[in-house]
Amino acid sequence: MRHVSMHAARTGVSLLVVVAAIGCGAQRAEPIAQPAAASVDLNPSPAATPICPLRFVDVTATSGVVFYHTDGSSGRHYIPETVTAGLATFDYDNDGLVDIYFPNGAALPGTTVNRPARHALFRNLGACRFQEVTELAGVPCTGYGLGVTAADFDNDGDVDLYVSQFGPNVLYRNNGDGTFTDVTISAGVSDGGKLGAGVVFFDMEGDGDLDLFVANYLKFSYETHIVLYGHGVAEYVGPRAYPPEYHTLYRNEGDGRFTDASQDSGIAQHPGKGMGVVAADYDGDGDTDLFVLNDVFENFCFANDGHGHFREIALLNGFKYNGEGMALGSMGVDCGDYDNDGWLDLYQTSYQNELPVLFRNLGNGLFEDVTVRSGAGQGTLNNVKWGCGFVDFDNDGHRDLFVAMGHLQDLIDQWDSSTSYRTRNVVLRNNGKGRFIDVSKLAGIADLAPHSARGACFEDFDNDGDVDVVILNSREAATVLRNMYYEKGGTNHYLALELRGRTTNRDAVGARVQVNAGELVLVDEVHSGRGYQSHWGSRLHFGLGKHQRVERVTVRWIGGHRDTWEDLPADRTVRLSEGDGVAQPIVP
Amino acid sequence: MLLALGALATRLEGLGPPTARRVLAAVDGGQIDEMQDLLEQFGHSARDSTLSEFLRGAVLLRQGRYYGALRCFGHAVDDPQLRVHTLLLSGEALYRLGQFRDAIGVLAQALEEDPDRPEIHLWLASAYYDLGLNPEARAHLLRAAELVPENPRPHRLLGLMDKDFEHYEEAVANYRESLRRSPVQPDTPQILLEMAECQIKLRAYAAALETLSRLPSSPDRWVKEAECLHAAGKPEEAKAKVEAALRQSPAHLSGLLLAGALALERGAVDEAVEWLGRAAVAYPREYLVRFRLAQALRRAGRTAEADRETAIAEELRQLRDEFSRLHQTAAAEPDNAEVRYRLGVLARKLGWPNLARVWFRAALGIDPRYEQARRELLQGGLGSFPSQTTKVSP
Repeated sequence: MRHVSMHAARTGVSLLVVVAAIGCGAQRAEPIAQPAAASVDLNPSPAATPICPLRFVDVTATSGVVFYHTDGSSGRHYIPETVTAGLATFDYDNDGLVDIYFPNGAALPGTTVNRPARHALFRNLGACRFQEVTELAGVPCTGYGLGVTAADFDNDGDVDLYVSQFGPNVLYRNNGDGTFTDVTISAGVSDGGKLGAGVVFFDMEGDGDLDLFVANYLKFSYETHIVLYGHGVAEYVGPRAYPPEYHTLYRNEGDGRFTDASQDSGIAQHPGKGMGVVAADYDGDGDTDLFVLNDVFENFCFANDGHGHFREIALLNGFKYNGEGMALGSMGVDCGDYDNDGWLDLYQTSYQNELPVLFRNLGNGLFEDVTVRSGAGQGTLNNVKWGCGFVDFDNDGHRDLFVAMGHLQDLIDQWDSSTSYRTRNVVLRNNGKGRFIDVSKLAGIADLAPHSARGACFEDFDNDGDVDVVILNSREAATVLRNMYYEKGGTNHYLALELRGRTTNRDAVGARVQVNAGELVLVDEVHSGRGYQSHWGSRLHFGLGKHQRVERVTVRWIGGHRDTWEDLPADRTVRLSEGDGVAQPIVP
Repeated sequence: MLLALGALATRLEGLGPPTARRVLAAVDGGQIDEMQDLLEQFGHSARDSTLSEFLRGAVLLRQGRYYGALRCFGHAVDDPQLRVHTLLLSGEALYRLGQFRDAIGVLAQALEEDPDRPEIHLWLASAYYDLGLNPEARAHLLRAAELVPENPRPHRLLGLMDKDFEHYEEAVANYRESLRRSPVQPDTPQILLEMAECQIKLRAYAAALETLSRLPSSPDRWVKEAECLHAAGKPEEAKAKVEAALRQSPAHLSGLLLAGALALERGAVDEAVEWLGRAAVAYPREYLVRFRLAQALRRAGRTAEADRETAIAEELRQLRDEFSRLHQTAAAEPDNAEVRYRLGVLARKLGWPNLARVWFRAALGIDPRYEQARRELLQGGLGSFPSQTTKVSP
């Protein structure tokens, strides 16, 4: 078993009492009520009967995305195989279309390959059509990829790429001409060949350039490799079998180099078993904090003092454990304001037989686990959950949830009938009243072929106004899902925003946006790195419901200064630049 | 035990003595005087001497005089016709003495003689369970269930074991099978309640409600129904249910926890602190109580108290974490007395004195010379715990 909770222990005193009663013949029994119709009604009122304007269609076959993931496995069951990989979506060539980058695994000992697997970049041609440009762009990395993020770390006007690996990590600097250069060594960010995990760019001290946080999974080596045979076949051992690893924080020196600030910042005092990471200003104090998930290990919340010094406060603010006080087999994490109260909430995925956790931000620096009462874990309990996202798929102004699932034990089907290595993902629609409804069946998600999903990203790939999905599947081809909301007759409106910093970092990572449209007050923030070791959403997407215009958009840039744009028409993508009152339409 | 004697009655019919039925009836009914009279009647033949020793042992076993019983059984064990019964009853006596390893050895001999006797499997299951060896216990329970298809108890026990180890689907299946075999058992209400708890853990709320509907109205039932309503997004109805339960059973642990959670959800922080404070007084060593109380106090802005509760909760969490880890170690190391002793110490610290005794007995069952375990058992006072109880004012 990979994960045994702290409460999984015998609590019964002895079998003696019960066994002693065996065969005693005449047994006295209390009268028992006959089965009857439940006196308690769980059904929602008829007015709340689920409706689903969503429909997703698998367009992988026609998309041109031909990416086959490998975990490099040979049956030896090395633990890195279980956690690969996330993916990234970003506009690498500034053409207004969001592209896709897939890290890949690599052959591990015992595996022989004719041609090494490599990471892959797919250029978006529009209309959900993609073309692989890996070689052309110069990113044919053959390392063992795990996590990835993207942002313009050198503020030169194009988006760069950082990949965590089992082995040295890689930083690709975007040359601005459709190609990249590996600058890992000169930048000093290889992180020493650890077993990497989620990675994020963020500006920790508000100096205008992006720093880099690298989560690491655990201390693994082939010499300490362990295989389980608990069910008569080889199994992956869980993370408890290995010691925790140190996470790394790199300070951007502004000249293309980074220095290791792990010690000075306080990060190095907290080794963990890192998985997904997201950087967000959860307490509204103007600086960016770090949320680090650890696998079968407590979560970390590194609160930023605004100067790049961090204090780990997860036990105090309610992020350390779920509402039952349990550390989970934590995987991916996203943040978004699901209840439109102006505060960024967090959603984390988890292992089989654990609900994911919806941490509601109470606005006073504390989080509350509202998973059960909100229904945010429906349809997920039996499966291992990985990628996740707060995404408004139907543009009604309320962020829905997508959860990517699939077991990590490749032979789980042989001994556990409650779950499967390949399974179906889940989409939970936000009803705008604090509840999520499982609409996977209605939205077509439940009818798609099962896979063992890992990272998932959410972008409007075809620029038609609704957000699509791309998923990396372990040991299989990736999946591209097109959102058919408008094709199905949807009439809600949206506004997509691309922010440009001038004195702050060029990608505006960490900038907070508030959109006012009628009764809707929507909040979001620019992130670089989120979900399951992935990156998406540099372009902020706001569903506006029936509103055809936005009264006001307010951006609070890193550092606290604000810009406001008023009376923007809906149903378009615009660029808002720091200090510039004009909203520039983006037309791919 | 009683089944064993019932089976013996049949065999004794062939031995001739007209008192056999009466003997077994007396043993069955615990009529010691009657049994002693009968023993006199067996006379002094070799045959009857062996039988009388056996019966004397059975009487002593019923009287709780286990060493005496074992001595008597020692005279009867070589009688081929009595051997299986003698070994079985000896196994029970050894089990009751806490000599689980020896009990297993004796019962294993009985099993060699008669592999299909269900009572042997059941006592073996008990001995293995009390040593923390659940796979072995499960195997014997399953075999006992096969041998007596109408017996509901093995599956009831398997359900309990699965529930303890958070295998909720398997637990529900075992509870269902137990109830299918015998819908009305002495502890059917407890079985239904445990099954509903598992269904709630599986988020099968409609099924849980159906299970609960088979129970008489009680605070237990209302609290579980409230948990289902809460999960279905009906907090007001949940609140009404749980408060009704707490009026009738003011110290209901799950009720207090849920009342606290519901109060927190609607922003009634002081009320939440009050509910959870009551729970902390009643259950000072319950981790979840302390954890939730700390959260409520923090939301109430009572930071110093929250910090204190957090520290207590963390202490308990670490103890429970260690308990869970050691439990796995015990399962992997069947002859490790020390780990069982440490489990006893942890159980004592966590406020589970009965469980502590079981583990100390298990340690002694493996190593009878384990003085620390013996001292713990003799000392009593297993309920003491160093952490103070927080008194929380509303």
